Amino acid sequence: MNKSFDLFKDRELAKKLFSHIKSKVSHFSNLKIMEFCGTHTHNIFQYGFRYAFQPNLKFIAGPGCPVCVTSDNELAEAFWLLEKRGVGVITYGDLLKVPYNGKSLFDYRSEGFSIEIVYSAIDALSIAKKKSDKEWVFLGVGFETTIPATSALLDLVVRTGIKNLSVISFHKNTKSIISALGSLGELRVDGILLPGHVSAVVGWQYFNDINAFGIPSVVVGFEPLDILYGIKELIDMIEKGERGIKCAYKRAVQEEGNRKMLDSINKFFDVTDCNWRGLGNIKNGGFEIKPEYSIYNARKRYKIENIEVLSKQNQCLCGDVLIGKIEPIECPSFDVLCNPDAPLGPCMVSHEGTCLAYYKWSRING
Amino acid sequence: MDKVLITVGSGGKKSQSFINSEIISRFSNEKLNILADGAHIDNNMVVTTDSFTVFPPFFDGGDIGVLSICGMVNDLASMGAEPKYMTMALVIEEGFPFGDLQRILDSMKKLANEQNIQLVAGDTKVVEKGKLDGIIINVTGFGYRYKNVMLPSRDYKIGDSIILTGPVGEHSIAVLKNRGVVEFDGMVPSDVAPLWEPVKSLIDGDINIKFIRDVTRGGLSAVLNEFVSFSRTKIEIYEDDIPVNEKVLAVCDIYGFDIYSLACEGRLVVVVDAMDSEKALSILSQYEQTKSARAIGQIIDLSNPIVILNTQFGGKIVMDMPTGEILPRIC
Repeated sequence: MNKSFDLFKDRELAKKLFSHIKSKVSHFSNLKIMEFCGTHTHNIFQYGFRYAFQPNLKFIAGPGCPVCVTSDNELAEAFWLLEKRGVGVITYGDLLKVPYNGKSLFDYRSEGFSIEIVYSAIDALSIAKKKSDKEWVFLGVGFETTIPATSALLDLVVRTGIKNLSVISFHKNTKSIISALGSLGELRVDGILLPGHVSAVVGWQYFNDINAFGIPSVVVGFEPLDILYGIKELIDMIEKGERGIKCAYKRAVQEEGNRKMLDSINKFFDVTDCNWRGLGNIKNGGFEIKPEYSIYNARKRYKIENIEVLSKQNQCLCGDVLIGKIEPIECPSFDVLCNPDAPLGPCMVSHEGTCLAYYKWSRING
Repeated sequence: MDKVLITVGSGGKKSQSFINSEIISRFSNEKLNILADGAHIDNNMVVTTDSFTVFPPFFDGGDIGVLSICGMVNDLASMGAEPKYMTMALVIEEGFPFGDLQRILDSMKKLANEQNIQLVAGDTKVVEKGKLDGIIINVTGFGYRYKNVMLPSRDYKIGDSIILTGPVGEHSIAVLKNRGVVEFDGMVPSDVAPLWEPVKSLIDGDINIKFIRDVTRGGLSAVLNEFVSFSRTKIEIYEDDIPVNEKVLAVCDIYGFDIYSLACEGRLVVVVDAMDSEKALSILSQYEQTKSARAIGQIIDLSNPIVILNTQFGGKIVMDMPTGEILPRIC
């Protein structure tokens, strides 16, 4: 293993910290900690921590997987661009599996529609250059972590003057969603693990609204030791009744964030209201390309207007699962209408979403 | 589903359900239904077939020709059969470089010779340019059961040891790098290798082998899930014991691939009686292609088929059948 990864993956230290947390949480009966970030959800699952402290401590996967919260109306826009405007779309791989109206981008690809997967936003430029007989739209997905990459692409599009590439923003705003969750007054969690990557861009002061609703929060990194340490810090705060935000990822995160990246977001994007899968319309919950760059905005270029959205969301209680209000088994669709092969909401779409985690957990103990 | 999706051929969940709902439902018979790597067609003969398509056809550590012979040899080895004869069908795209075709055939010939396999029938088709991407090779292999071993067994016990013969994922990473999907300094050669020799030695060593399968598409997760579903057992795997290539692990870390879903072309999962585990490992350690073999887990229950992975950091997760195409994740 690469040495730089090794440091924060030390198995012996991890096992010690693990046992320490295990004995700490034994004093609690039903502690709920929400990890906001999708990568935390993934890693907590992959490292095997998700079930490890049950029933004393449960992890609630928050709405922090940008692909999972991509809404039906956004997918409808992508499908419309493919079907009605004949453009090709370029996006990150995991968006391909998210279903809308019984279909995903995977299905479109097998029907012969042009769909390209990139690992980095700027690779969209080389695809558009190479396949210049077609018009392409990059689907910008993600939080403040991937927006600077979309900004870099927009910057290249502007500078090179390339004609057959534009961008549609499905980008989401983490500050607004955290405030929105808090203001719902129904957030039933005892602590929050804040996203390390987003915080590295925006700084942890970005989440200061949390102070208003008094839930202890810790900014956490992603390696096993980072996560365990973050959990330990959070439990310490809960035990002592402390509130506010602590940073347990200081090697990457500064309070004020990364100026250069923040500037690149502000250069191309405005904050706007936005639909989140499972949560509905969130005030200031998204980012839209600024009017001065409209010619690079696929919504404007292809005149996307009101697309009728066929929604099955009324059968899905992901919104309540995401805020810890109910457990997945309390949702009437769970394991009936909604399962990993035919997921309704983000908690089952995501490989490590709360509903899917419950679905799998029942099998370990079965 | 009104169109065939790429995931039908991915080796994961969708392939499994396609085979059950479209193939078994039509062609069901007792030889086919065990869904092994090949079939015992009479008391001694074993047959297997496989089509190979890979882009690019040449990659670090091998080419599509090497892949096709190794795939066939390893499928036969998984049935405890010694490879003897093969047929080959080539489907080539018009305009495919002739020199490349010769290189591919030369690698096949060299490997077939080394493995004492004779080509006994074949077919060549050329399709119009654009109807196919390069070349597809189908090989059918014929072998004879060695020393009356009958695999896979139907007799499993709690404690049976699960052995993996080497690090996982090297083939996928080699191909993805040669395709330009991932970029890094240095090289990870594909693990592609013929594995009859080590299997033969296990049989010669009187190891009580119960099950062998080569780890290909769908990776270690797929093979272990196929095993539990065939044997109706619950198994426990220890991540600490799974051999990994550090470069592969680093690439997975950065690109967000699940290392256990990545394909190999020269690795086996071998299930043996617990008493024979040590001896099997010592036999495997004598061969270059299986020298990093490790016991990675065991059967813990004779019901509730499921694969449980004990992670390096103290937790447990279910190792699932991979669902589809290998995709980098952003979240």
